[in-house]
Amino acid sequence: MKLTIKLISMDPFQPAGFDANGVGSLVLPDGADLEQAVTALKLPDDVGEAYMTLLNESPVPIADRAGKRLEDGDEITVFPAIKGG
Amino acid sequence: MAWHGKLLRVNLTEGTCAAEALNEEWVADYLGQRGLGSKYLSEEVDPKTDPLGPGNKLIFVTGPLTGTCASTGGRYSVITKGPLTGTIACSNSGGQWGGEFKLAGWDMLILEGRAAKPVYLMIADDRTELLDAEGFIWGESVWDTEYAIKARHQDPLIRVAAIGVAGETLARFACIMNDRDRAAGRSGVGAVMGSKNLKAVAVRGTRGVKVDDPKRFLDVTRQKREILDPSPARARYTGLGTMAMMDVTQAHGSLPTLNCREVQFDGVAEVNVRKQHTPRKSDGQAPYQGAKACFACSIGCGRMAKIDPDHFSIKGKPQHQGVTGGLEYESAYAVGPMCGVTDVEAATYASAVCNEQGMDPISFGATVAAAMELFEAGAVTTAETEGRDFSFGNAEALVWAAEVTGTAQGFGKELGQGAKRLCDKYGRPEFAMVVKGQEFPGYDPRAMQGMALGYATSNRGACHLKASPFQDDFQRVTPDGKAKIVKDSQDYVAAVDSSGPCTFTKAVWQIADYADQIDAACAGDWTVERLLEVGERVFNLERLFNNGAGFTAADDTLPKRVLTEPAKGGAGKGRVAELDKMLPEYYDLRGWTPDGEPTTQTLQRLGLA
Repeated sequence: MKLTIKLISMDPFQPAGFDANGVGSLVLPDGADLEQAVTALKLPDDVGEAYMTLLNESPVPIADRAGKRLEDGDEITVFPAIKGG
Repeated sequence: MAWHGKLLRVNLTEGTCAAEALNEEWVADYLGQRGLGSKYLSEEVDPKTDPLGPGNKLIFVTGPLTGTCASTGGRYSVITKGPLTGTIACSNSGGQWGGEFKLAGWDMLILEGRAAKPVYLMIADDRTELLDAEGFIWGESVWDTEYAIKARHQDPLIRVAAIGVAGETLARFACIMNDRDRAAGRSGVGAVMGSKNLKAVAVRGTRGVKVDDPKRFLDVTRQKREILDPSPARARYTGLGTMAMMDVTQAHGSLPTLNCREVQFDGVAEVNVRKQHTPRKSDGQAPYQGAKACFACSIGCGRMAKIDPDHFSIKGKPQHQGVTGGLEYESAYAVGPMCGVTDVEAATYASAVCNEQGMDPISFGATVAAAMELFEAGAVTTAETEGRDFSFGNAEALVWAAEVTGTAQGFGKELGQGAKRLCDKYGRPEFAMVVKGQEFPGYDPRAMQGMALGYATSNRGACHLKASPFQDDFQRVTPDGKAKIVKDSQDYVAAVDSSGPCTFTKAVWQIADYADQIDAACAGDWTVERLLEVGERVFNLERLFNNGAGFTAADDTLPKRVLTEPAKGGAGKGRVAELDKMLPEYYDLRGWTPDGEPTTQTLQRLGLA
């Protein structure tokens, strides 16, 4: 299945094939879950922070990613847990 | 150790400066900065005093790590009774001033009374004197004040904390600025300084700071930097600054937009971090010009910017044509999406005017947004705006508002009273996005239930820095479990705010990292448990001050809009802020009565009885 990925505020991290706005796609086997998608992105080492995820604009807690089955065409938004601004 | 054991008390009415021993018992129980300053204020100021009267006091206070080599250890706090809210006010600043003050041999400065005529305070190690400001720097901008003091005293290394014109005119969200563009920004501490006829506190320090165990302290602070410096969070603050947050809140649906009518901004691409890093056509330069770090900081999140030389806002204004302090997330949200403005140059200019005149850009922007809604509702008309269209999105209106607010010209005087007083005056109090009179920061509470509770219970009014529910809020939009997260993080933040480092280190360091450094710097057994107990004690002490000022559980609330009008999009779509589901549990966890007052048992447990 093909997923749309939006990486928010992750500069300068930019996986191959992603555009300058952090938008790209990811192909995973049918039946994959959200945890597998996040792992496949090979995000920078998360020292002291975690990555947040929205699945089709709804937040998914980190603890619930494993087992959160994905469907072809799903949109996953990933951003760091910035603590304040 | 890490303390000089000395404070400077300045009586502006009498014109006296006197050294005084620091109360070591209070240091042991309240640490420094926010905690120690709040203790002194609580002991010396009647909570019911007029914030802008001579009975109020203004306290500048450092932490145990301020002035040391601990990364970001240059912070100071300003504690007073705030004129925007009537609550205790605690405002925290970086830059170089805090470190310099500590290096001059002082831990704290207490300003009391009111000078008969405008003065400034000059501190050079032990030498302290009040000097005339009238005919010299009174009436001048923050930037010109700093320059003039350095020139008069022939020392470019003097550090200056000053009010701008906004503080002189008693704008209720006036800041105390230092090092041009760093600010003790929130709650109107600059208006208190202005009410005392005090223009600036200039300091030059050469004494240094002694720590309890120098070798251990160097080892520990080095270890903590080895954790902080390579982290992605540190790299993000350096590379993107706090502006990285705007795309996050936009994606999440928690970006306050059009005075909180919306939670996402259609024009976000015109003001976000990418826009600020993109070269413009006129001069080939990006607004963003580089990063700036504060005292001992190994992060360097501060943004420096240059406004388009062709932009209408800076024509004939040479002081705005060079590199200046740029948009940070909070200022950008307030003068951008909150006002519906998509002109990044106008937004940068408005923020720069806030620096120049000494105004909190959060409160300024949110107040302008309220005024724009009043205008669209017909409550404010072109009679007030001198013929201008004051609708949402009007960049020229924003620029005009920035120029007249600090100087209190015409409608600017009304804007300088803040959103609550403005909306009350024009008969639409529901347009004020405030808690206890202080304007919202850049997080809509409908998609962030923890932030909703944090805003409602913050001791200085709506604030994003007095609790830290971000990580959980970005994962869960339901209110369950938020009470404990907010309560625990409020205590944690109060401890860090009393220590000396920057709050942004919390993105990487854990509470033990602060305890280790404080323990190496100070005599005494500073454990995680003790530090968190100090935080809880400080939070309750502030609450007691506010209760004494007349605040009750009824004030722990949010604007009707976010309680009743569901979010239109994003993660919180269809939701309102569900305070009623969180507050009872929060009070219970705090050991407070249902009326929001600490119980006798709680006060005894914390040594506050």
